[in-house]
Amino acid sequence: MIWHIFRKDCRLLWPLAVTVALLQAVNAFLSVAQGPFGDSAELRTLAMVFPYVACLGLMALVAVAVHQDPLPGTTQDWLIRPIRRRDLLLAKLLFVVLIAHGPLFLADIAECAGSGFGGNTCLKSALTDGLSKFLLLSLPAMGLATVTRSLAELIGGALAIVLLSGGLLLAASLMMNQPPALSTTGLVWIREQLIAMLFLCVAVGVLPLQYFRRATRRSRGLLAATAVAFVLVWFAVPWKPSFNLQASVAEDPAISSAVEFTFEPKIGRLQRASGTLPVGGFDRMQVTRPLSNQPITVVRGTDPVRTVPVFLPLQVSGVPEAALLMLDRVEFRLIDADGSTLYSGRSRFYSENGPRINASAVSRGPETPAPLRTHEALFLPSNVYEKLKDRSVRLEVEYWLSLLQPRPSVVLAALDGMAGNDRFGRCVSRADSDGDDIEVSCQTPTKLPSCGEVYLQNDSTGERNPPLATCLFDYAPYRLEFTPHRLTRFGVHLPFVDATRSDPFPVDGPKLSHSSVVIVPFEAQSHFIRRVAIPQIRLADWRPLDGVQGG
Amino acid sequence: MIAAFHEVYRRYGKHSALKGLNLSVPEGSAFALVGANGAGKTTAIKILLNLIAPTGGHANVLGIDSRALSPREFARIGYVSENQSLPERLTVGEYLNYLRPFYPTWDRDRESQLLRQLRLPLDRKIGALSHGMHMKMLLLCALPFRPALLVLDEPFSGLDPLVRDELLEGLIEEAGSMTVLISSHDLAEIEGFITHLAFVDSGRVLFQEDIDDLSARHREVRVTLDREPSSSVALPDTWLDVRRSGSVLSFIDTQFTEAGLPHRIAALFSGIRDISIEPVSLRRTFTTLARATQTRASSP
Repeated sequence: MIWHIFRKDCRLLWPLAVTVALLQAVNAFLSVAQGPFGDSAELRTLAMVFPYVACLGLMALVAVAVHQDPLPGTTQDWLIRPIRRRDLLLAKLLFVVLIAHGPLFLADIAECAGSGFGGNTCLKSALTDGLSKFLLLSLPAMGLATVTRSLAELIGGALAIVLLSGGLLLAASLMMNQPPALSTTGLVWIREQLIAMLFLCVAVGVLPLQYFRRATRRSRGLLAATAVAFVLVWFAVPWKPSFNLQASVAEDPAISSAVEFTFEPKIGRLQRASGTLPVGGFDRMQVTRPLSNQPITVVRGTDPVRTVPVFLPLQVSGVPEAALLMLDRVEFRLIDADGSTLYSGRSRFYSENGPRINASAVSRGPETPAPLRTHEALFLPSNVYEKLKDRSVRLEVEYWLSLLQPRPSVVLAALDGMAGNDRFGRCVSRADSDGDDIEVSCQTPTKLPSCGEVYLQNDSTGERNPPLATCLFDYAPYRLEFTPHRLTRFGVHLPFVDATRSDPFPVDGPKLSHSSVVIVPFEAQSHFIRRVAIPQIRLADWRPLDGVQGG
Repeated sequence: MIAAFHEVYRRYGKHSALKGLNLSVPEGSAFALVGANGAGKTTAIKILLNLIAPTGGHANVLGIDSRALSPREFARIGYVSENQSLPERLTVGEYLNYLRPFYPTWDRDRESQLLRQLRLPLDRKIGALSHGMHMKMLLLCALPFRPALLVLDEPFSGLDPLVRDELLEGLIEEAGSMTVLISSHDLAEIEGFITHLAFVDSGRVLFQEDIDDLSARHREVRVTLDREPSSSVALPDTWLDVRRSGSVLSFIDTQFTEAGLPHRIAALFSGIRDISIEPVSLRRTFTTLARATQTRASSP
């Protein structure tokens, strides 16, 4: 009877199903039509908004399909008919898979192929996108639909859950004086997966509870409890087990075995111009986001509590050539002579705009084959610093690190180039309208790399312009996330003219015709901890010389 | 028994809809569940069909606990309720096409016959049917598979007499071939075809009886005396709806026996000029019993 019920739903819902299928088709069309650079602002805006509309349409179709045979209540005719509950549930799932997700799958394939990707890549991408949306959108929508009788009730219920979660999240944020452990780190995917699993488990739990027992009150209670559990997961996922999990799925844990951190007082105190604090080994960072070429300058800031940075001179050795070392977290303890802990804390970094960044690159080579010397900050609350700055204390620091290795580069002609691979995506280049930048735009149907470096290189001489580097701080080993956009777009502007520089770039206007854009993706290979213990230190000795201020 | 309630309780928060309901529906009967609005009739039926769970006790239907009803049993149960909602965007024909494969015993000839009899338009959307047509549609969906048990919950509520008669015709034709459990607060319309009756009040069954026994037990009695009867005479509790008008005393005797009544009257009154004994309509019996119950409940 599964097919029989499915056909009844199709007969009833074909106008909505066709509308949602059209939304998916228009969505794919807009993505392809806007081209790699997204020159048309109108198309870009539509292409930005439409995926959300299509996702809402998908969820509405799923919910309405369930509502054709509502579960709460006692007046529905189907309840007294000889209809197997299992058949009804399977018929609804069949409808969701074939009628709601079928057009999505086809539109995914069309968009991917229309953007120039190969068959296998598109098939894999469409399956991944379909699976993500099935698990993270359709199943939760089904779960909510089984405890409601209409779309209006469902929207009300969803709003109630969102408000409850939001309220609890806000209250918990106000009560906690530290942000959640995984927030703004490359490990945040673990929390996202746990939350996704929570939603999935609840949806999967509510479906049989409703279809086989019609325990609506219990199911609604379960959904309300999910809002509380969501907040708990958000705040309570602990750092250490998460890092251990991350380390256990690393591709090449042994690669970091030679990396050593030592406190090196001979390096001396940090000397920087007043104002901006340094950002590890990168001179300039740019966070790329879909359809946005706006650079975001990453600076170290402070948390709401007034803090004072102390910069430890460190020597880092054993970093493989061309690798990136990312600092994910720093924990430190100040210990008195009698062994008692005077202060323990963890350092945090913030970006000035946009996403917060909680890591910095401390090493980058091949330019730095020798042991790297760097200053790494520890942030102390100003009252703690004032109290302890002149005391001789023991300092123990734990650095939680990730080592990233470059993946095969994507090289394309600087002017009107086009290249790519299925792992990284497809990229195009052109000179921008101002004539001082090379505009690079890429699309990928897969997960973005954790970090990337882009530079202009003279093909004849091998000279390079200063690279632009970016990190998304995402060490997820796979892509299973909710994103309304099927293809992730990202881009950079590579300057080849800079009036503020006294010397020209190695690759400038006349050399562009025989130059290339080189894109180097980096992926995390190993996650590890290094400890530095300093038996005696006076904090005031390691404040920057120019008086760089925190807070 | 095709259906039975055993000490069934049902609470909605602080309100008890059923307070230990005991009831047995004999197979092949046309069983009326009567009671005022809010007496618990609909709650009882919903428990019987596993639409809601009892708070205590249990109900059996077709030999199994109602909580364990499966499609196999539902294929033998027809249900018509004024509150039943059908898929409004399907047409009458489409919904019949949808239901047919679920019932192994669906009789296409009976369906055609009912369609003609009830005069339902096959191509009309269910949502566009009037209340009367909606009820006829429910009956149409409940009869073609020849259910062993047909449950009707206030099926005639809000219907005009013409539609009511059409529905009744449909029902009477089926009577005898199946068990009918019908709930109603108005007995006039079902008097002609029910065989058993249970009177439900405040979640309990006050009495359950074969309709013939009930009719035989109840009589409207009119006693004409020589003079006005004394108000100090203690009348039997089994005499209900007692009225005095001059020298005439009228009442409903709920324990009537041909031989016993004249003796009981003679024992209480002298100067009896005439005793007239008439059968009581089911409606009158019901309203009399209902009033008496309410009076007893409200008295300190």
